[in-house]
Parts: sequence; structure tokens; C-alpha cells
Amino acid sequence: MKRYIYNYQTITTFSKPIDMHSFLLRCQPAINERQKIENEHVIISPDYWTESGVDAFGNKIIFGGTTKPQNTFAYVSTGLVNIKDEATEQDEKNLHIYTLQSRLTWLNEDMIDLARSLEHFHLDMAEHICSLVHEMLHYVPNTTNVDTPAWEVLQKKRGVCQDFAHLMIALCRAKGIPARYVNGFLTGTGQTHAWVEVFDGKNWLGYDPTHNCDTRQGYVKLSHGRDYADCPVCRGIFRGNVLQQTLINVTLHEL
Amino acid sequence: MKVRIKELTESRDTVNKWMERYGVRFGVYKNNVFKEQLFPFDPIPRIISHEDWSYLEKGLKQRVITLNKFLWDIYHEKNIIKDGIVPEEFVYSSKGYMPECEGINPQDGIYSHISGIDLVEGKDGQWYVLEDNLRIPSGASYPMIARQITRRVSPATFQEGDVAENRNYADMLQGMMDEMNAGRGISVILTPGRYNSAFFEHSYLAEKTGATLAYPGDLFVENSTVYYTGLYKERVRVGCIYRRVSDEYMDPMVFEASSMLGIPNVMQAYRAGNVALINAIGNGVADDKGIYYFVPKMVEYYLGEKPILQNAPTYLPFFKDDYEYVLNNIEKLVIKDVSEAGGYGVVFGKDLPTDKLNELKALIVDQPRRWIAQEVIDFKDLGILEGEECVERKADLRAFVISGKETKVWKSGLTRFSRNPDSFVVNSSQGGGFKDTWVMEK
Repeated sequence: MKRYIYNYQTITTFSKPIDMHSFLLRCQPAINERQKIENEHVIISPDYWTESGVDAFGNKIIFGGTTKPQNTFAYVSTGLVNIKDEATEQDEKNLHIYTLQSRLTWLNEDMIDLARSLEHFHLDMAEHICSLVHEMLHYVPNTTNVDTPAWEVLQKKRGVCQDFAHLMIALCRAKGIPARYVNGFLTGTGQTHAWVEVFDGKNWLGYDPTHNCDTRQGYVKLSHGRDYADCPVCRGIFRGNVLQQTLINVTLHEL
Repeated sequence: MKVRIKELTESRDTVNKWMERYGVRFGVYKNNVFKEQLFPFDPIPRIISHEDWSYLEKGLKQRVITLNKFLWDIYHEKNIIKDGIVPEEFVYSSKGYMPECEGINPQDGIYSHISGIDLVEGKDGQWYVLEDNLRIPSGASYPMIARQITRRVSPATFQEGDVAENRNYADMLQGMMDEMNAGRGISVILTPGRYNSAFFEHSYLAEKTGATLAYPGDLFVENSTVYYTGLYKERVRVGCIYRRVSDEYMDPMVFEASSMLGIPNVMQAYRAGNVALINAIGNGVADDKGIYYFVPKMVEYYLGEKPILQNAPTYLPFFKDDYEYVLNNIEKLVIKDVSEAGGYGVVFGKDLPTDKLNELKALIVDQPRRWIAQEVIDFKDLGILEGEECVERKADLRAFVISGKETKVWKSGLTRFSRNPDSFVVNSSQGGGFKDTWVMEK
């Protein structure tokens, strides 16, 4: 077992006051067979009502809003988490939804061809797909956005961790392997990270196609879903035509 | 009973003129241009005998009670899948299945509070269900207002006759909303706004039920409770939302992130049981054209009863026997694209030239799950007045079933007809007209 201290903070400033702001956050480490929370705190801008709950995918959520105009929105999530490196999640609830392609993983002809070309016998197909995606794509920030589907990533051959994850998920599902998208923290990165979990019939196993490795060491999971759209760290909406700037800082250290 | 058809037909123009003044319109988008059309009213009513109605009423109740049980099961235990009655592919690949609704407990287990069941009567007098509409079935306002005007034009017809009253729809709706209301808040009808195809209906039903007509932006969530804020910035607790906004636009925090039509965090208020959503979110999984095939099996599964209403004979190419049958008989079948709605994805094999038929066959071979095929039913035609002449046209019937503490069938319905003599497609979005539906009390 290892102990990690994490700190996630974000502050968004608006050029003019915004009205009727609502938000929904998935910024706390998940609780499961691998992860245990020793201590946690979430601090959110004053003036907001907040409540917490669990979404339909089993993720912890904090949601809220305000009717008072705001110039900034800030929140901090910090705490201590214990991780059993060798343990796996075994939850089979809603397994079916991770077997079908979702909005950001739809296959186009190129992807179907690519999936078909993977007919060779591989002892571990998921691991094979993980390294294939890692080799095919170049990590280049700002070439894609949060709505970029996997087929477009394959066309561009570049993207960020989210795109690597979507392509791997799409190919796993095409080969009949249930796969889900995971958001979380990774030691030494300074931002949130995304990776993939595949179901081997009994366990959810984590793979990081961005770094071509498994996720036993140094990964703290926040949330999962069919793809990015199910489990972003933060969603918000407000009234007002403003410019906004967001600063995010993430630290994760093994103790 | 003496039906004064002559008096009614003579009054046709008067009725249509009144309807125009009342703004009884139907908005359509064609090539991205919004146009408002009048929904032409035909004065000859469809008359349903007392005997036929008793049969339909029993069958409709049974079907809707079943569909509500199915929806609960799908978003909870999923026994019907585990027991092999409905294959999981049909459930989870349905666009209407919303995993975000897993585990939500709508009050009294009711998902489809307002159900619009589309039926046709065959030439042999047998009724068939063509489609279940459990998301936001529209159309009840048209027979309501048509009756209201016709009564004014020809009061004697209704004084002497045994035509069942249909102006109680608003009371049924209001009663159901009161029963579902969480936390004694007000009831609202949430409209996307005046450019919605059914805006007339939204405002009319609000007026008739006494519910507040709410526009996007009038509702907000605080502490998992929904409030209405109006002109004077007042803040009123909302207990029931009859929403005429589609599922995917209802909450930008959970569904379509850019939606300006929804209520941020309403899903959390809903999950907490602090507000009722009429109809529930996620109902599309039960009115999917592919799921339709299984409804008679569901009746037996959930109620242990024989289904009273019949489906049109339907084939799923997904199953091997049906696959062969469909490919061999495609020229006499009607083929429906499961992923489409609104009458655009329906083709008749007999209308297609050979090359198009072969294209369609290739599509079916490629994605069998995407299609259903049905025998073409020989509808009983209804007489409509075209100029001064009575001509026969295809027509269907949308029956409305209201489910609150009890499940009740409205003794009327929307009879839509095709104005094109060769067409079987009666959707209002395809330019048809409508009739009043008279249910006889004796």
C-alpha cells in the first residue's frame, strides 16, 4: 500500500460579472477496492449553494450554483489517499454500457479497417492496443479539443491524453473488450490525466496509452464513464458574454 | 343516434377560420426554414363505437401499465434482459436509453405519464398498434379545441348524441400533475419557446390546466430544489415540470453541455425526488421501433396476461428467421429505420425500383439491428371532405393514456389523415390533417 497527498485547485476569472452560474464537479478521488480516502477537503467559492452525491456511473459529484453575479469561481480539492497497487476494481454494474461505442468513440471506415487488422492472436489484446495507440499518435497539445471524436484523432495522428484514451477505448470495444474512460491524477504532471480501464471478465485493469504502461503506480482515479463527456472534472454554465481565464494546478506526491 | 354530418360539413370553413384565429398551428422546419402551417381540420368525425372503445380502453391500459413496468425494470434490476425476453443489444444500443437515469426512482414507478399510442383500424375491423410514443407525445390540444369550436357551431349534435365528453383532458392532466407533484410546489409546462413545432399546444394546455407556462431561463435549481422566477423576480417552488423539451437538452450539467433550453442541475433535484418530470427522462428506450416488437411479450412477462392489443405483424432482421423473410419479401413490406423518427425513415418496398431495393437489402445485411419490417396493413379508409366531395383517405388514431396513481384513457384522441391519396404516412410533420374522434357512450 502507498499513501499519496493530492491537491487540485482551479480558479476561473471572468472579464465581467456572470449571472446564474451552475456547476457540477467530479474532483474527489474515487473510493473502490484500490483506493481508500484517509482525509479529504473540498473548498468552493463562497456565495454558492453546494451539495454532494453520486452520479449514475458511480462517481462522486459536488454540484451547486448561485443567483448572485460572480467575478471568479474557485475550488480546491485536497487530501490523503491510500492505494493498494495490486488490487483491482471488480464492479460489474452497468458493464454493458462499456461494450458499445459511445458518442466520442464511434468507428469510421478507417477505424473498422484498423480494428480488423488486429486479428492476430495476442495474448493480451488490450495491452497490444495500448502500445499500438501509443506508437500511432503523437502527443501534441492544442490540436484537438474536448469534443474531438476518436476517428478524427486517428486521422490527425496527434492529440493529448484524452484522445489517446478515446482511440484505445474505441479499438478495445471494436474487439469486444469492455472499456471505459478514466479521469485522474498522475504524479509529476501538474494537470489532470486520462487513461483507460478494460474489463477482463473479472477485473478492471488500467492502461495508460499516453505513456504505454499500466496504471498500478502513481495513478489516482477520480471518475469514469463511457467517454470524456460522461465524467469531466468540471462542467458549468452561466449567463453572460464574457472572456474567461482558468488556472489549474494539480500536485500528487507519494509520501 | 342522428349525427348531423351535414351541419358539420357545412360548418367546416367556419371551424377552420376559428382555429386560425385561435392560432392552432403546427410549425415545421423544411430546409432549415421555419414555417408555420395551419393543421387542416376535417369536419367528419371518426366515430368509435362503445364496443370498440371498451376493447381499446382495456388494451391501452394494459399496454401502458406494461411499458411503465418495463422502464422501471430497465433502469433498475433489468430482469427482462436477464430472463432473455428482450436481447440486451436492443436496449443498450437504443438512442433512447440514458445510462444517466440508472437508479432514479420516479414517484409511483411511473415513467410515461402521458402516452400517445398510435393505432390503425384494418379493413377487417381489427385494430393494430403501430407505434408507442412515450417521450413527449403531442397532439391532444387539437381535438380539444376542435370539439370546443364544433360545439359552438353545432350545439345540437352534442346535446342529443351520446358522444363522450373530451374537454376533460385538461382535468385529467392537471389531476395527474397534482398527484405527481413533489413538495407541494407549483406545476409548470416548460416550452422551448415559440419556434417549437407544438408551441400552440404548450400554451393552450397551460391555459387549460392552470399550470404556469415556463420558458428556458424561468426555472433554476437551488439546494436540489427547482424554483420558478418570473417577471417580478419572485421565487416559487416547483413540484412538477411537464416538460416539452427533449431529454438531451434538459440538463446541460449531465446531457448536451451547450443546451440553453434546460435547467442546470435539474437531474440532481429529480434524483433527490424533489421534483417530478413529466414524462420521465430516458423513456425513449421503450418506444424505440426495435423494442416495439417485444411489447406483447412484455405484457405476458410483467402482467402474466395475454396481450389485448395487437402489433402490426413485425419482423426483426436481427433474428435469423425474420432476416430471411424480410430479404425475400421486401417488395411487399414496409421498412422502418429504427434510428429515425417523424415519418422520414419509413419506406414501402412496393414503391422502390429494383436498384433501390437492392441498396436497401445491402443496408439490412450490413446492419440488421437498424431495421424493422412490417406487413402493410390494409387500413380502413376514412371519408374526408375534399372541396365539396367526400373522398377516402388513410388515417390513424393517436390515443392518449394518462398515468398518475391510476392509468386512464382519454375518451377521444387525435385522428390524423394523409391528404395524399397514395400515402400511408399520416404524420402532421408530413403535411396531413386531423379530425375529431368521437367515442360513443352507448
